[in-house]
Amino acid sequence: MSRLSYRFLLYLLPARFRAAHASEMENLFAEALHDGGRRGRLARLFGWFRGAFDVVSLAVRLRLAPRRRNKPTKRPRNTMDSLLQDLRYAFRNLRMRPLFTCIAILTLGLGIGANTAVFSVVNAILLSGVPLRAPEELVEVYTSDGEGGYPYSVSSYPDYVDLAERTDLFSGVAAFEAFFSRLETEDDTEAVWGEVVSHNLFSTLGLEPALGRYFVPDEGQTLGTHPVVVLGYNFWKQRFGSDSSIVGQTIRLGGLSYTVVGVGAEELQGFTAPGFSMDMWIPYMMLPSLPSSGNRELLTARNNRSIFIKARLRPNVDVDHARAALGTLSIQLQQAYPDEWEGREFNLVPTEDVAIHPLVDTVLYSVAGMLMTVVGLVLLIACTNLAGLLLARAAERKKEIAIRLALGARRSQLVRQFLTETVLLSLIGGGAGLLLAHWLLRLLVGFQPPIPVPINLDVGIDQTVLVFTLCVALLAGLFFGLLPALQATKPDVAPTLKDDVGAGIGRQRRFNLKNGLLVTQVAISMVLLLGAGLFIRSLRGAQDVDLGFSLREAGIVWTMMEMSGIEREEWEILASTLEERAAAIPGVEQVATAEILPLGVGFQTRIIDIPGVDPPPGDDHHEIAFNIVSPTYLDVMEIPVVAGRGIGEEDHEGSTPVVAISETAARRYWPGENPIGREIVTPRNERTYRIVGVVKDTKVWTIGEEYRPYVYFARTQNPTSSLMMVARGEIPEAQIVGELRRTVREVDPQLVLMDSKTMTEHLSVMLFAPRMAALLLGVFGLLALVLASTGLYGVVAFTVSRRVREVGIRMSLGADQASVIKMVLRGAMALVLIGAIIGLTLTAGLAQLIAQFLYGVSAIDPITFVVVPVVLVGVAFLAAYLPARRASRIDPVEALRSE
Amino acid sequence: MTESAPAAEELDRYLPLKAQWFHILLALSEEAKHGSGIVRSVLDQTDGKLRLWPATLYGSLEDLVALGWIEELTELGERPAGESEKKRFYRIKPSGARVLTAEADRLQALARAALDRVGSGNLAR
Repeated sequence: MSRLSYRFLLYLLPARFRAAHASEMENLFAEALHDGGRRGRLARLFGWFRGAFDVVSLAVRLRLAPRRRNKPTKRPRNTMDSLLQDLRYAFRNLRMRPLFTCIAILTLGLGIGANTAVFSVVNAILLSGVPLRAPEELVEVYTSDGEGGYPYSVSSYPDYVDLAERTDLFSGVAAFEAFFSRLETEDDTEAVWGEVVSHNLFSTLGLEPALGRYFVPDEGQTLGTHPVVVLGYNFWKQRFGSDSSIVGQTIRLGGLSYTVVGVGAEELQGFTAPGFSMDMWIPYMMLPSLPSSGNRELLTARNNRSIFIKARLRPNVDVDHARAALGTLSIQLQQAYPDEWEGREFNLVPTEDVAIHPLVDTVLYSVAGMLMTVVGLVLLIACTNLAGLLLARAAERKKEIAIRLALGARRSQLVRQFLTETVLLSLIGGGAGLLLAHWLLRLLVGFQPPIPVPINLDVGIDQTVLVFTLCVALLAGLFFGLLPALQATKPDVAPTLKDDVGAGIGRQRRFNLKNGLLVTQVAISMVLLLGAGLFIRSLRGAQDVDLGFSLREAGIVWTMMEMSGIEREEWEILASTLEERAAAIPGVEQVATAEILPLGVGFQTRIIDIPGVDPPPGDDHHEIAFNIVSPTYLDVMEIPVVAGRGIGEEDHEGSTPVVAISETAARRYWPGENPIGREIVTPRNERTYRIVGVVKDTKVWTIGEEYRPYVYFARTQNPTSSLMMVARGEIPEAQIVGELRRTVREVDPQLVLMDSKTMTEHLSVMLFAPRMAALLLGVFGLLALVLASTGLYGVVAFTVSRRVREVGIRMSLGADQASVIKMVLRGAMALVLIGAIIGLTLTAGLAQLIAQFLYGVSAIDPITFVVVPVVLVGVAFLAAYLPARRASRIDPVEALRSE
Repeated sequence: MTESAPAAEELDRYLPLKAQWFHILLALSEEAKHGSGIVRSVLDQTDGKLRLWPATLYGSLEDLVALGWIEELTELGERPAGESEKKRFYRIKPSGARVLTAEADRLQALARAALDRVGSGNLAR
């Protein structure tokens, strides 16, 4: 493959040289690649480029500086040679106009770079993954949620076993789910992420370890007997310094020793989602031994659904057949387990059709589509810009072209020459774009979303991205080159040769290609800028949304007691000790705890019964979002009590179980009545709680959501393993965080710190998406504005330069400066206004599409729709005014003498 | 090395020698070699730091032949036995050897001057 492409490249060299050395050069190149090949694929790729560059530079040298003693060849001998002649000509042309060349390369570089950067991210998230063996045979199997429920939900372990044992569709059925545990070393405890996997997951997918081995069938047979672990490559590298003697050693995980049997492949991050770099994998049979999971029913309870299933179809089984067979199995399961399986069925999706998960995919694809559209538009502006510049240049070269046509050059030859030049330009621009993208991606990789999971997206520029960039560059070159090339080589030889420049004025059409380009540019810039404006306003909107709780500075730490190996009986004692110790930190005034904080990651609900209130149709119970809080929580979070009282000191283990509910819950379940004194029941543990108060609503999961029913339980009456401590005081929040961490360590060094952050950081989670959107669109919108206004400036300046004589005549006939400026401006601004109106209309038409991404702002936001057009038209005015003013200063005598 | 003055003057035009020319001449100073042999020698000479890529190599070889510093072995009897005639062998000519020597002298003088100024002990430290 590489050899063939090299042979092709050699055609760049002069025929004589090729005849003498081609075959030896090919052999040498193969040797060089072979030497480099031992150092990996990347080295080979680099070697290829190095070799290609080597040939191209020699070709340029030999062709551009032909030896004197070689007789110059008059006529190109083959297509390749004539292409090279075109290239040489193009190079010379570009070198002769360094300013134009620089502007063109910069413009293209920005446009292509933006596309490459965005595409790299899309590629990393949606398109690439670990290379799997025969991926076309792989399928994902989901279990649907009840009747008419979500079709792609997780499955239970017994379902997985049935799938493997009761069908003969698959050559392998594998399962996995994520887990969370603590790694214990002599002096430290650290939270780690991993996946529990069926022993055959790696072999079913066809993966090879970097070191040691993956799991063997024995390790998937009996509960708890094989504490073995495969480390993730990154974890191994960072935590163990790539120590290859790690295989055979043991690590302490959740109070148990595990033997390291292998290290995963370098490209393998995990199976749950791209970017989530898993620290380790352990066999499913060890799941019940993890402290965070606690009970042994995990692998036997059919209603405990938490696992993902991947399977490999037998070679002679197709997807439709498998679907039908799974339908039969679903019916059997529905009959055998009516409680757990009513209305459910297995759903099978080919793995190649799923990027992450069918639910997530649709969202990601729409975001990716939007981003690609935006950068595509930026590139379009860049291209129209260059097309405009080229048209201007073509007009300058009209005479040269006319002479060549008159001398018998074919039009196709001239067009080819034009295109060679633009494609060359766009390839160089593509190179610049790659550099820019590389730099942008470096920035992006350092950008960690504010969640407690390490994201490690491999957004490098790989072969797919290179091919993409090459295609974009070629297309751009053809696009912005073709129209000017056709326009410029229109054969109207006679008038041009007659030096009939003045005749141009009378014949100028009102709406020519150049004007069309300008209108397009302004329209696209308008769309992008309006988009940017909307997202910036949306960011403001998101920041201004009333969340229902205090945004004041605070420190937050999060620990998990069960995972830390602490018995349930001790949770409450430890929690109150932590609370007391935190309150004693100098400078800290208020401390509260909650099971979770609103607007974090995660959303929990509880099943409740409400005497006298029927559950929603089709359900046996109500489902309600909840929290378990300390008596101080409502105070510290500044959530006002509307009626009754909040959770208080008087609610302890022995007293009547109580809850406080949100206003929305009160309205939903007891409309027009007083809920205080009523009861709710939690059917799972059959406890009855009395409602003692109603409090203000807060946002729970996202800032965009409607307020939802919410219930607060008392921590003292409902011990909780997850404990988030919020502390507020006179000292800065970052300092409080540090103090809280120290306190936790002092109270119990075994406590796993899941996360520690300031309130500001916590809130930034929800602002992450609007912030990114505003940032990206803002940057791209600005880029569009800059490109469009330089384009406008260029076009107006050029038009003016063509009208020098006309201006001279007008001025010598008595026109003053102002009227000349007005005349030039009128023409330009008419085009700008047409473009602006098209852009406004387009954006308004897209409003429905954009609206889904916005917070607290209408998609036709009046402020945006006034400010942006004013700015755009203002900038356009300036871009047109500068050359117009220059025109007005023309000395009429000079002007008339010109030409 | 004692070279006659006029010859040295004439050679001075080409000094300092292009790195790839120097290494090719050096490689050919042992014995006649073909392309792959030269690449290997140069890799050896430079501890693997300088790889002559094919176009650079053959471009340079043509230049050196044109300058008259090296020549291709065209007579059958001159070529090493047992080698395919498809491989082109090159050998250094006296003028090439002179250039090589002149460049080596230049480098030596340069190195000596540098060592005199900073002292080899200082450098090591």
